[in-house]
Amino acid sequence: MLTEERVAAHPEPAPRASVDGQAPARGRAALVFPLLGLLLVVVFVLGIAVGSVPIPVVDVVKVLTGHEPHGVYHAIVFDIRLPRSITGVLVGAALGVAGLQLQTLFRNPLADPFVLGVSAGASLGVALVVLAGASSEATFLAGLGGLGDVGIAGAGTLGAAAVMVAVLFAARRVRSTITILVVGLMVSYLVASLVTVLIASADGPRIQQFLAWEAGSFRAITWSQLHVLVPVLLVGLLAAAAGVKQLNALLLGERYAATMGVDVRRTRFVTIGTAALLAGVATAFCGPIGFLGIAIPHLARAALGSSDHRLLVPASMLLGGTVALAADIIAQLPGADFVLPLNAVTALLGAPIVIWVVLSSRNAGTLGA
Amino acid sequence: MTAALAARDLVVGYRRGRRARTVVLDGVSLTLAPGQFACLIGPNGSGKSTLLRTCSGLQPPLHGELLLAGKDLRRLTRLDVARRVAAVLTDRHDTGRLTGRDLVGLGRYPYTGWFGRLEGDDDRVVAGALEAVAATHLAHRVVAELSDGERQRVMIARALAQQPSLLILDEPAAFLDVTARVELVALLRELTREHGLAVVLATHDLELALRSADTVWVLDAEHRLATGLPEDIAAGGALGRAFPTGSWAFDPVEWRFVFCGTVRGVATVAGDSLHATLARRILEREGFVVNPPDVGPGVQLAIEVLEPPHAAPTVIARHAGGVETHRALQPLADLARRVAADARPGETPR
Repeated sequence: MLTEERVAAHPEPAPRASVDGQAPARGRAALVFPLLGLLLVVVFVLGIAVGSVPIPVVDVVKVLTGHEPHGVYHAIVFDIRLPRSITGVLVGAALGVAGLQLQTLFRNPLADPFVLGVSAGASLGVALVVLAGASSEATFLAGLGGLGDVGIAGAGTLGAAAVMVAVLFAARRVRSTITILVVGLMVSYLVASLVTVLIASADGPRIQQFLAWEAGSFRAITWSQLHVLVPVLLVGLLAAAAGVKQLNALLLGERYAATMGVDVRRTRFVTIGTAALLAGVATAFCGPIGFLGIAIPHLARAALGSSDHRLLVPASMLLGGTVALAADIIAQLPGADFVLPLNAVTALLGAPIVIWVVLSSRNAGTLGA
Repeated sequence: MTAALAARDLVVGYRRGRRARTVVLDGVSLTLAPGQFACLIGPNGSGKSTLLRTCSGLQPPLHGELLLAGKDLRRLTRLDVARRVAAVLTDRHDTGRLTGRDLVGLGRYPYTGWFGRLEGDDDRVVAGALEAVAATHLAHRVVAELSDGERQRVMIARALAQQPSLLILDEPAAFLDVTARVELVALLRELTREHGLAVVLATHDLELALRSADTVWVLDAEHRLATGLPEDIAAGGALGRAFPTGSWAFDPVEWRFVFCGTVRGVATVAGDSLHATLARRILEREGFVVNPPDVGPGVQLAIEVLEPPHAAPTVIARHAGGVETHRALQPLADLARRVAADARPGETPR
């Protein structure tokens, strides 16, 4: 047995080595995290400044710090821009962290929150309200549709929750994690085909409304919706942060994790549940925003040069929020009349990252899922 | 002294559904004391991995008693088990950017708090574990870039960081070359002797297992387990039962498989120099009985090897066709094959 005496036999843990051991990783983290924080603040302020009515950055800061309580910009900032930016930060963080969790759990660098099928579930919920609500106006769903954006978010949440329950049910029953991945993907296809059927049978304006949701946006969010969105996403993010130790152990694979005392099934269940909650709610409120979930974890790994989830989880949150806001700003660049679909922008930013990941995956270790 | 591992009438296998169960091994009784090195050998499908999974606490026993460092497995939590048994598996995963130190630090899992932070003692244990496997220089290297042998060392250090009383290794040599394999076994022996660890190694390398183990566990295809001193195991019939082959048999004296199939002829080899021994191996491979106790007139090949101190060996071969003299072994091998092909296969058992 490796007892204390044995450890005491090597009392000097080679001071130079131990300092060197900590220095590169921690030194880099000490540099990267303030930088990421600063970047997030800058993008946050910029995000409030841009829009159909551009606001000078100085005035944004004044309004946000309460120096101009009755200024002309006050209403725009507090009623429209601030909810939008808060949504962007949280949804970006949620998708980034969910992607990281699933990439580690499935040991697949190309996994993202959508593989669980919860986003497809949200789509189906929204499609039922928006597209099928037409046929029978007296129904419950039509009623939800009539509630406007709140109804859409509610229907999306219900759809995502239904799929999440199904996937969690599968996660409890099956032995292999890969099976869950396959089940999630198949549910995605299944649900997507139902959405296609709904689209085919719907009329023009409704299709347009559905496509607008599917294009993704942080704009339609109001304070009353934030009262739901913020607590739910914060709970999810906290749950993700609490699972870093298990995720680190899973880097060696499920069998090794089990020999180190990890309850693999429980970890799988909690991780999938958390990721599904984050991705499902984010999608229900803002539409299926692609590429953040797959690209953010890789950016975090590259920025920190580490596979340690104690660093990667917070970094994915910061980076996710930053990139989501940046994408939203870019989406508004064309001008006042026309806003690019958010999904198009995230794909524009994310696709090159994914290609880079795939191309560099031949070098051992760079994948680092 | 409390045994690191003790099993009494253990039934090992899988549960299938509520009632159904597949029994792999029945009535297993074993003990392994601290500081002992056990090698588990047996053909594929004999239940080696299932037994080791059960002993690692990854799979509950179907019946019977399993004590880890004196405590009943059923009364231990997952973390308690991980503090008593650590395992090294064949699994190879992409470990991303983890360094040697990071990876060994993961072995502290059963001891660390909520976020897995390494504190005070943990750092010392990690450094000690790396030193125990002579891998201190690998602490800051990225594991994904290490050689297979180095990687396996780091994985063992990670197991040691769990501070177990029992270390279980399931075919850890699968990816290793011969040198690394021998070094691995030497390291494991050292861990038993220096640190009082009990080690179980499952391996396909029969000879290495017999030469290095304190005790050998042999499983055969019928899922019977034999345990004992390597010498006793070699002398008894367990190896023959575990590795039945038609034409090769395990030689309990030489500890290697020797040919015992259809006899092609009788040969003599004079001398016991290196090249004489090698010539003998060649002839045995070709199906000759070499130097039988009573050499009758039926000798097809008579070999004499001259090995002068500072010159190449000379092989003189006498056979029905005449006498040949060669300065290398290859022509002898060719000749033996020709003679064996001409000879009528006899039925004389070896």
